[in-house]
Amino acid sequence: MKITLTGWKCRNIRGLRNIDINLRRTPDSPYPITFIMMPNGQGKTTTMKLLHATLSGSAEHWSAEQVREYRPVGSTADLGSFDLSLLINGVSYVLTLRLDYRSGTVAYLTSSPARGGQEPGRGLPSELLRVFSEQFVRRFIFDGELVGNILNSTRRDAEDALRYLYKLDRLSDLRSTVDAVIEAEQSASQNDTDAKTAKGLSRNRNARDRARDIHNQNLIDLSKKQSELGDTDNKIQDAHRRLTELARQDEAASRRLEELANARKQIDKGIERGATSLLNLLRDPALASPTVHTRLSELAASMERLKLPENTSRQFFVELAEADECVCGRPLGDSERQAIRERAEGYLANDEYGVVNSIKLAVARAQHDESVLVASLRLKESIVERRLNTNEEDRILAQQGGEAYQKLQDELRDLQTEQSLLRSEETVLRQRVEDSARDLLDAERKLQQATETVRLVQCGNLLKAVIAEAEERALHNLKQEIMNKTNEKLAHIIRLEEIRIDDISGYLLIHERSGISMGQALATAYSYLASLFFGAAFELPFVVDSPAGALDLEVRREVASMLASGLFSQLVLLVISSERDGLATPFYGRDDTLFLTVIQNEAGVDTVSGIEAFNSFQSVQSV
Amino acid sequence: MNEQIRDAIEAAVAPLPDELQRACRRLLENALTAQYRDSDVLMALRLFEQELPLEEEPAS
Repeated sequence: MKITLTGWKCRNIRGLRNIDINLRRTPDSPYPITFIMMPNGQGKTTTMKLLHATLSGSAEHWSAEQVREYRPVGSTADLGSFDLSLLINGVSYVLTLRLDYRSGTVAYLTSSPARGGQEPGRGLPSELLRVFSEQFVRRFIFDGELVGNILNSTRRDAEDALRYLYKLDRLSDLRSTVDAVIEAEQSASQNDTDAKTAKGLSRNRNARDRARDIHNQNLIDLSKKQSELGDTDNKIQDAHRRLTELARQDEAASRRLEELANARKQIDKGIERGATSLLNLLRDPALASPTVHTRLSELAASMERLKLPENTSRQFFVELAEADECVCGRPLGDSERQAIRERAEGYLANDEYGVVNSIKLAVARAQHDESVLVASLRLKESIVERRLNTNEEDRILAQQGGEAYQKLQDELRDLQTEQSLLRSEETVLRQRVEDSARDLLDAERKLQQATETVRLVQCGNLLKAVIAEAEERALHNLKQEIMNKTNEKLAHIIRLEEIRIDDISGYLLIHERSGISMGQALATAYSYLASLFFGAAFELPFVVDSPAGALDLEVRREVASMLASGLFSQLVLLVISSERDGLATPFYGRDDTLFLTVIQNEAGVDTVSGIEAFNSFQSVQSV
Repeated sequence: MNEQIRDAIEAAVAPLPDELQRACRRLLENALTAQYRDSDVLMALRLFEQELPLEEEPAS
């Protein structure tokens, strides 16, 4: 992404008052190099601060007092403004910083072809907004303070700048995306496990094993009980058989017993049918009792108007509002269509409403009749009939068997008591087996979910480790490369002394730093910045205030040569007359360099273009 | 792409099996130009699932 500045305009700004700086060489591009001669006290620092604040957005944190400091001395103006024109990948943007001196507030405005007109805010591409932090902008809107920052061992700016310039921060974003994707996958599969680690998985596996052990034990207990019950059933059958044999010693009694047994089978079938029929009828609460039916009718009357499930029914209203005729056949005009659209919401409810609708319809349609009463009377008749049948059988058997029969009857009664007890126990155990089977299924489902989750989380961790490794290695490689390039440049421009950096560990670690001069520190900073920007993903302008003030003439020439060697997409140097020699003079006669001189006079501030004014400015000043 | 970054990516993916290497290299390169979608990340995760064994911790 290439960013260049094409100029700026100040209105009612302290020191600058009203000034227009035009950096354009053609309508579509600025001069690669611009020297702006501004004497001390004529707004150089203010210009740098406004450039920085406009690009970084830092003015939003200014106090009212700070804002008012920009009002020209003696001025009563209520508003000041700084318009910065720039090209981003060839597209024009104008960023405006508006200062309201009355309220002590600032506002940002942006205009660009895409926006059409001026809109509130800093409307730069989002990629730039993210990168243009206060610290980052200071690397290319360069003030003297940065030299201190770059060399300061407590700042991590150097490493952050590397991350942004080479877009390594996007690898950090990728790691966040990995987490987000895993989260989304879990939500999509309705996976509600809380296990994210191997330990959590073990916990789930233990729970599954416990559930399986309990279920197996319940199955064994049930099987034993069923076996005991089977034995008891056999003993009861045997007792019955022996009782029958006793009775069959009389032929007539035997025949009657057989008739009774056959009749009992029919009665039992009738009882089963009657009970089933009665149970089915009792499922309808309205049939069960007239009181219940009355209450249900009252409930139906008090329930709200029926509504339609929204998801499945909204489209009906949408399509109806576009039709020529209503469902009743009447023609639809615009007003009717509008009414349908507006009132549709009143007939729609969330999807659960479908269930409520069903309940209401069922309640409203419920009727009461005597069918339950009839069915229960029939069942009672069958039960009485069976009791009479067994009573007669008992009587015949008692007559035929005598003492032996009585003994067998006692035995049978004991067995039946035992059978009843065993059946109760079997019912309890059967319920336990059902419960433990459900618990086991649930534990297996959770284990399955935990396995999938832990697997995905583990894979996510592996992928993130690869990304982090790439990021760390890239940072290390870039630091090494930039350090080497910086040291090459330093060796070239500071020949008499060995100045080199040993490490970029969040900051620049200068070899045997003690005794380094301001000029050497500046040269180190320029060498580092030039190396840093070389090959980066952003081509940025480099605006520097008093770039050579502390440099001696020889170093100044080397620095000038380095700054002008195409390392920056655009170079803007704010200089004072004493910096011209050695720094600006090598550029005289070059057609890629613009010379501007800002001259204050009684009428205000003038900007004069050309070498002549630039070169003669010193003599004007010295007068 | 910057040579130092390319080298870093190569070194980071080098220990992985071939197919994973290719997928991770592509994902990292695309991430640097913001040219990837969530589905690309998911695909890489699925590939990790296929290619690498699950780490087990003894049941306590």
